[in-house]
Amino acid sequence: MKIIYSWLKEFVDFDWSPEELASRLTMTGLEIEGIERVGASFKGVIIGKVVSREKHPNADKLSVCRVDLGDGHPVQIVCGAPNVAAGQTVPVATAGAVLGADFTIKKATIRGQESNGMICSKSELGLEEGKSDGIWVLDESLTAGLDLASVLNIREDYVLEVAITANRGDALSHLGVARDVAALAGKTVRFPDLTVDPKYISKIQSSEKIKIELDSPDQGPVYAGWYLEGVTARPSPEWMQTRITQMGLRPRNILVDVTNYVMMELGQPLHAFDYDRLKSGTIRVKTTGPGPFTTLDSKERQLPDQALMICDGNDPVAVAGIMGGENSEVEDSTSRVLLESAWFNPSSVRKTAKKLGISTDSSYRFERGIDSGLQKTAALRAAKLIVENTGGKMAETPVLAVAKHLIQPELTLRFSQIKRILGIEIPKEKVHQILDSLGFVMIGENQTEMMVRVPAHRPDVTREIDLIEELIRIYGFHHVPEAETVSVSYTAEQKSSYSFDNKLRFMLTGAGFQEILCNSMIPEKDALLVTGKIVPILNPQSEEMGVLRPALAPGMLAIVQKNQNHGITDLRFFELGHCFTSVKSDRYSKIGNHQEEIRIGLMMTGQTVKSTWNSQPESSTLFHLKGTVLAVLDVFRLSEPVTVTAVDSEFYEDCLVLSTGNVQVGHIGKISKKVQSFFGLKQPVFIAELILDSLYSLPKHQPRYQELPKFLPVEKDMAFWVSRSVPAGEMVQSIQETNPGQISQVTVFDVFEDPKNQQNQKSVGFRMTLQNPEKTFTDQEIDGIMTAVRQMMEKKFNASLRGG
Amino acid sequence: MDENIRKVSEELDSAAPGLTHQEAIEAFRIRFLGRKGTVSALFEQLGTVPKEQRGQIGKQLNDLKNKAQGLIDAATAGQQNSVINTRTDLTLPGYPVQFGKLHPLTVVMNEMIEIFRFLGFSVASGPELEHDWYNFEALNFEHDHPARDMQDTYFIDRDLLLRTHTSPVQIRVMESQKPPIRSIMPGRVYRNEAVSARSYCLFHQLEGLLVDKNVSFVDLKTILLAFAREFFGPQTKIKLRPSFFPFTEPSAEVDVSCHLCHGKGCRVCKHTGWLEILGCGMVDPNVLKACNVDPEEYSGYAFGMGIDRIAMMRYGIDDIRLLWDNNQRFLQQF
Ligand SMILES: [Zn+2]
Repeated sequence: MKIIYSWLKEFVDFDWSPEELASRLTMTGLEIEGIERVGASFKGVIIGKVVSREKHPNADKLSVCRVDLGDGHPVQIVCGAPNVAAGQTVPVATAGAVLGADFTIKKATIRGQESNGMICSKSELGLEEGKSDGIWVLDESLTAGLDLASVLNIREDYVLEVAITANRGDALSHLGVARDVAALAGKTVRFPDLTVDPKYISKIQSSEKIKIELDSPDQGPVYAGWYLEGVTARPSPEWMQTRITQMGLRPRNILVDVTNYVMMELGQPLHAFDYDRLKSGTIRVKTTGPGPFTTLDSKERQLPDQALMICDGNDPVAVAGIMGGENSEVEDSTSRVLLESAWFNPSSVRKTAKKLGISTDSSYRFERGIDSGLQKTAALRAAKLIVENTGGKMAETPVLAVAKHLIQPELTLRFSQIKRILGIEIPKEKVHQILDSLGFVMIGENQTEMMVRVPAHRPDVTREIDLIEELIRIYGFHHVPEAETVSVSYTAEQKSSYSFDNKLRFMLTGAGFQEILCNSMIPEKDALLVTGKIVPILNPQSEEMGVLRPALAPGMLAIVQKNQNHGITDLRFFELGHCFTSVKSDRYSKIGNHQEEIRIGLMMTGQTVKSTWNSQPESSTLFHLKGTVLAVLDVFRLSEPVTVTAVDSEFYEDCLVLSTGNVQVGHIGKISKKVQSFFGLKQPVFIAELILDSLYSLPKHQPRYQELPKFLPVEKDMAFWVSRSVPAGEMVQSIQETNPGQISQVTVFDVFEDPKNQQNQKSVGFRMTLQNPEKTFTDQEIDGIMTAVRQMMEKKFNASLRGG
Repeated sequence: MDENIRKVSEELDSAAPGLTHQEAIEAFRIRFLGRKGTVSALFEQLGTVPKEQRGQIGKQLNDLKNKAQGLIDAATAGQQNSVINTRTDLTLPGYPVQFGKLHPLTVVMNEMIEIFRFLGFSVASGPELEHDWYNFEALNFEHDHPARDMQDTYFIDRDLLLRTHTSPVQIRVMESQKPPIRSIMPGRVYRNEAVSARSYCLFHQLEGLLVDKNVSFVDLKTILLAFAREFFGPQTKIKLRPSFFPFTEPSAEVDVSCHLCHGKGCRVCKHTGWLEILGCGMVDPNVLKACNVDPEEYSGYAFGMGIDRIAMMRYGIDDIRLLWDNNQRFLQQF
């Protein structure tokens, strides 16, 4: 909202510069976001009449003029403008006048001719951008010798842009801001003049002309109307137009302009009806059913059900508190006016405005709560401004209907609470001064507490805590000190995943994975690659952010692609983030249950080992990622072992599911060709996702010390020819089980297929670590173990010892 | 054919002394034994040799092949030994180990969390998909009140939404725990705002909550100053301006003296000497009541800040979208 510096001064005395005012208001909670200098910046420019114009004897483009400055003794001025002519009324900057910041006009001699000042153009006066065509020719009715700035009411002024928080409906006017200024400056607010010259008052009472019926007392409890006649819809006076323009509105005619002017002055939205366009003689304020209605901006709008309407009898003529109707709007021919000044329920106005999708200066104020005691006064102020400037007459009294009295709450303020909440005491006289200047009425006080009545312009103040906020807002937070010590009562640290999350992060960065953060809102088509159980957003910003991510993979792949476009192809990423799925399979159901889980995703693509001067590069494979993921899982110390099962998947070409017990904790995969080409990726990508919620909630074991083996382990290698279809993992497990307690570890050291081998066989080499905690093995014992392994392999897997 | 074999054999001899490094060995292998190498070419010509000579020539060719392979093997072995035996060139680069980095937002967030943990706060978290009750209602946002316009909300259905701030975690903490409460709540939040260099549709907040007996604004100001000095440096000053948040009363915006110009004014602080980084206030009694905490017995304070803006200020990042583009070259800078 905008506040005009000079206008504010009409309400309260203060001697702060615009900058100082801005910083003080900011420190009371009315944040000033900008100060704009407006109006003219000139002093000493007066109105003159060009009596004669002669060509300059020594210069072709100059004229020598004699100009009357009102004292009957015309002075000589040299002028360079081509449009200057005898008989014109012009602005003259005489010697001593100042234009702009510091251009002082002096007497001069120009090419031998004396010049006593300067005839000005609009741009020279700072009233026009760029260069004017010539001097500014004024209305000839203006009297010579008068000060131009005061005649046109153009002077240096400032417009302050104020950010008003949602609770401060009271500050949406000059009067409202003036109250805060008064409280800060220890001054009182001056109300605008409301006396009307009797010549503008007719014998008619408004109630003779219009009846008011309030059919919806909850939504529209207070309505004042003022009847005016003999008015004309002429342009507003120059000074009013200037202010309306500076406030960012376009002046129209005085009937409309005054309603805006008074709203910005006092905070009460007003509406002017053309009385002759109202047919029934009765204004009814009531809620209506849905239907079309054309507002005064000529737009046909669909009224929502239960919208509060102003009706002419039964015909709607305005959407209450939001916008008038085209059917009753004032026109150029209007001579009789009904001024509306009402109080409407804030949430009712808000609901209707939201449904209509419009916000007006009026609805903005009603939504935030306007002064419920101001209706008659505001109507009087507007009526006065109209009749005084158009010469019509206003009814002697307004018509006022009140269906429900709005009660001003009375609040108790305990002095002990000020200290309890703010940690400081505020002197009692200061408490009185602040509350008093903000309009609170003292109704009782004793040693420990006081009682105040909340003024009608502060509907946001309903509790003791609100009063405490008012006090510190004006008194200032700089009075609140910092303590020397921070003391805390002991409570155990609450459990959270924070520390373990970070442990995972540091492990993975150590393993060369870069942390990334991806948008949780992704395109629907990306999400559908993963699952049909997606969670759409009702009001997405764009299709690109239409649904919530069901997994981390789509976002990561999009990032891989972006990097690929920048020529970065060797990547290892991880992300820790929330994923969302719909529990119902019907993804279009509007209300469903949703599941949110926290996952950690790992991604590898391109070279995982770069070439060096002594080694070859190595490309990422599923097994690089598998190794990392299982190492990460090991850190969780799950009680149950992790099992890895190959499954079919559409998203992945090779996919492994990780589970412990019957709980799935994640998966690892190589993305399918389809997904790879969907994201436009040039090389295979490997992705793993672990469900952290599950991993955190599963039972863990505490490590227990095991005695270290006293004897050296023995390593033995054996290789077998076996059918290609036998999984290595199964063989490893079986070897381990042949001699429990004696084979402590089995690894695969070598796998190859001989292309000449016609039997579809592969060779798998196993390295076995034999370890007995009690003793060293004898050669015989070792042979026994090896034989057992060989026999088991032959029998169970139809394998034959290589080279055996 | 004999002649050709002899020629190639001589070529082998003359090329052998050059096998001093890996690339040369590889080039040598390709030249002679590669699929289009000279030795291989001779093997291909074997078919044109008269039948009776084939055995003889074949043997010569095999010898030639073995000779070439022998030279390669010897040179390779020499290569490996040379690193050990001859004086090592220590100017050769070390084998690269590339660590990943944490995302800059995580770096800043972790640093803040550590400061507050040091000051006695526990970390709490909550869902990003929230109910209206937790995100608005319990936080004293009335229905049909303009305060709801302060945060443009993404909705999933009539009740579910993407949380617009981390404040709903305050409610969850107070529901699950009796005072005294000292928690911080870092997390991701969503606002339906157009994406530009200055704003993104999601960002990160860190919020704090303390509820105990006899907690006042003095305690709030104390903890904020302690944080500001830990995070921005020991000379940091803070300044509070009244503001409005539905869930605190009184509420304030906190300005921190600019750590770049020390209050003199610079581009980052828009020549004010101050950076607006934090909102705070005393927990509104309505919020305590919504969580069944008696506001006559307990009082508390809450504060919150946007991580992304602070990270941008710290690292001089002028376009917020860079944080979400995840360009590897960008991420490696932190
Ligand atoms: Zn600065």
